[in-house]
Amino acid sequence: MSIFVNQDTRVIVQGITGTQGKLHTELMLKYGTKIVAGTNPKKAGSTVFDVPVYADVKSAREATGANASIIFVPPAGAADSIIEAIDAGLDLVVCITENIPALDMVRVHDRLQNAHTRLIGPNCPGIISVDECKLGIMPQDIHLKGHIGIVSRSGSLTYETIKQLSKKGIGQSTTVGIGGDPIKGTDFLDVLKAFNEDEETDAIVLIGEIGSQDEQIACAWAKENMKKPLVGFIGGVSAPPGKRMGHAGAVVNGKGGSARDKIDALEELGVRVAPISDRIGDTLIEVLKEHGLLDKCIVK
Amino acid sequence: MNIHEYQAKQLFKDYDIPVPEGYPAFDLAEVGRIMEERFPEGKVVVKAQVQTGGRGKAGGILLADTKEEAVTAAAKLFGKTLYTKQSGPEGKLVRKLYIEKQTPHEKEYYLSLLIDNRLGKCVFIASKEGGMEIEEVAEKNPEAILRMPVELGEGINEETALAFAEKLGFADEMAEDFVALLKRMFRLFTERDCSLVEVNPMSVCDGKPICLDAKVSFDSGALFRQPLNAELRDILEENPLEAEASDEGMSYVSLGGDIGCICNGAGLGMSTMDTINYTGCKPANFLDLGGSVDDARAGKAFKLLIREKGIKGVIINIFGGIARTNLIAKGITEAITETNYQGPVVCRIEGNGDAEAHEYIANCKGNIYPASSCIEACMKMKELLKEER
Repeated sequence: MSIFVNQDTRVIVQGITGTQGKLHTELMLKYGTKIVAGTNPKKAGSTVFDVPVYADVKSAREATGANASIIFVPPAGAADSIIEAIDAGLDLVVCITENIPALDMVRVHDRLQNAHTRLIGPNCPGIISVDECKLGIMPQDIHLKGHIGIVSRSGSLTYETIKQLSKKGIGQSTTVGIGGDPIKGTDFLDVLKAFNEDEETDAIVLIGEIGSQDEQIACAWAKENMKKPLVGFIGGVSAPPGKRMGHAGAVVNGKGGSARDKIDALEELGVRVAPISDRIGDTLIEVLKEHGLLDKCIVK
Repeated sequence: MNIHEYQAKQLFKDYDIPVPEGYPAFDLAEVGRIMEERFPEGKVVVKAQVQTGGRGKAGGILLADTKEEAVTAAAKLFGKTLYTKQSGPEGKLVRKLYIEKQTPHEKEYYLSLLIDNRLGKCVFIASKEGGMEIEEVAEKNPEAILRMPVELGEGINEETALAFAEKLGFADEMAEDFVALLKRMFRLFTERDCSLVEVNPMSVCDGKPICLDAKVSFDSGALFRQPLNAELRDILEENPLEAEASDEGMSYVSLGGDIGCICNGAGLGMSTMDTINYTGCKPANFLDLGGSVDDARAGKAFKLLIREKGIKGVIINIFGGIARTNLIAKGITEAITETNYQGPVVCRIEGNGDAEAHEYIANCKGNIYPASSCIEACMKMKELLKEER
């Protein structure tokens, strides 16, 4: 098992004919992801790497039985693309697009309330269940199949962490990049809940950063409910207040949003926090040892 | 993206949101002219136009009862540097003023409209305790802060808004006027893709609401569909390196330390500056090269970074997933050669194309060293700088 995506996930690429869409369609196909359709209203009837292109998500879904999509549409049309996928009744939508206007995301947020669709992102690297399905833009050769679940607001730090773990023979089950935007679909709490129920996952790494209090909320839930050990990292200890550090959501605004506040809160909730990103792997190993899980988690 | 008070007040006027009569002035002669033509009876407030909070406390807002007093106040303010809580140690230079009619008033209120990210909704925030910083009110007296979420699709609900007005102590005609003001503010917020509209203080004059201050910030992600918003940008208010970087598709933040860093990805950028900090050194900046980076942008990043004041060395921390590290290494080593940069450069480059990247580093004539992790790069830099001293 794994969470949210597996070998049965059938994928539509929204924006398949653009530069990024094409590039990552090819890479995902190589990984073994079942991409069954693409969409572009102006290029219906054509193909990209033998994947048929449809005018919209609804017709692509009806023709192929797809249950998920990944979006590479530019910011101006990205929110409408998400809403199109929600309206077509897909189970899962991953939105890679960065810089979607905030009010558009408020509109998307409203539409998600009564829908069964799960949105991951926007402004994220996507999700990968190792050796089963890659629905994202992460490099593929760093992963190793195993028992660690990873959830992160940062793409680059996720790759860094995966590389550290794989080097030490510690495999991953599913990695979820929830994205760097302030308004997003899936948050830390949703992913922790799913990992908690996933038989394949034995421990979780949570990579957070400045801004919001989502890390604290998720870890407070974990303290009461989580059956598995949790290791954390928070980026932005040296970030000045009020300054946006790359991600739209990475701004220290008000109480609880600073890295220091988060690290203190997480430690108080019993989560071991790595002092620097280079030590995320070692910190996890320490915790796995204490729980008698290290031998099981070293898969190579 | 922030704008000036005088620009925000013009937007308020465009949306029929009540503000006192006022005019921007860019030099002393203009102040005199405005006083003669617009305020022959005197009684104005001379307000420094700098994009930072706490202007009043820093001496940036002066009362003047006559034309002479106004010109004297303006002469004091033009060219003055204001130091506020939010301005940073470098302060904010006053280049523009706003001359506004004095408004006799009693109570001061706080009112703002923003997006609550956790709720995913637009929310009005108000308090009877205006005039002071809302963060302070939130800390000392959180019950004094009132909140009213608004559904984007439905707009402001009349009943909810009247109840909101009542909680602030407004009744009858005043309550109706206040609700009308909320509606106009909401229209401004949504039509112009704002990220914040803030009035602190709002007051009551002759039984009607009036916005004595106005702050508007725009969503920078929406500038592509708001050409009028982009026109209001005042580049002089921004850190020049930060402005230049953002025009090139990169994110840059000055941090005041002496060790620079170049990274790809916001998370890696933050963790690199944090690791510099962890080794007891001071990061000069945050720099994320941004997506689809090539050698030209990497070279520009290096040239921009070494202009940062007091910089003694540069750490490069790149993890190439999709990004091609060989192109980044090419751009940076070429920039080192071209600028003849003599300070130490420590490079940790890993991932897509790294064999070729390491060749570029090995062949570069500069003061350049490889490292295999971020912490190793930071320790190496610390050692190199110690040797120099």
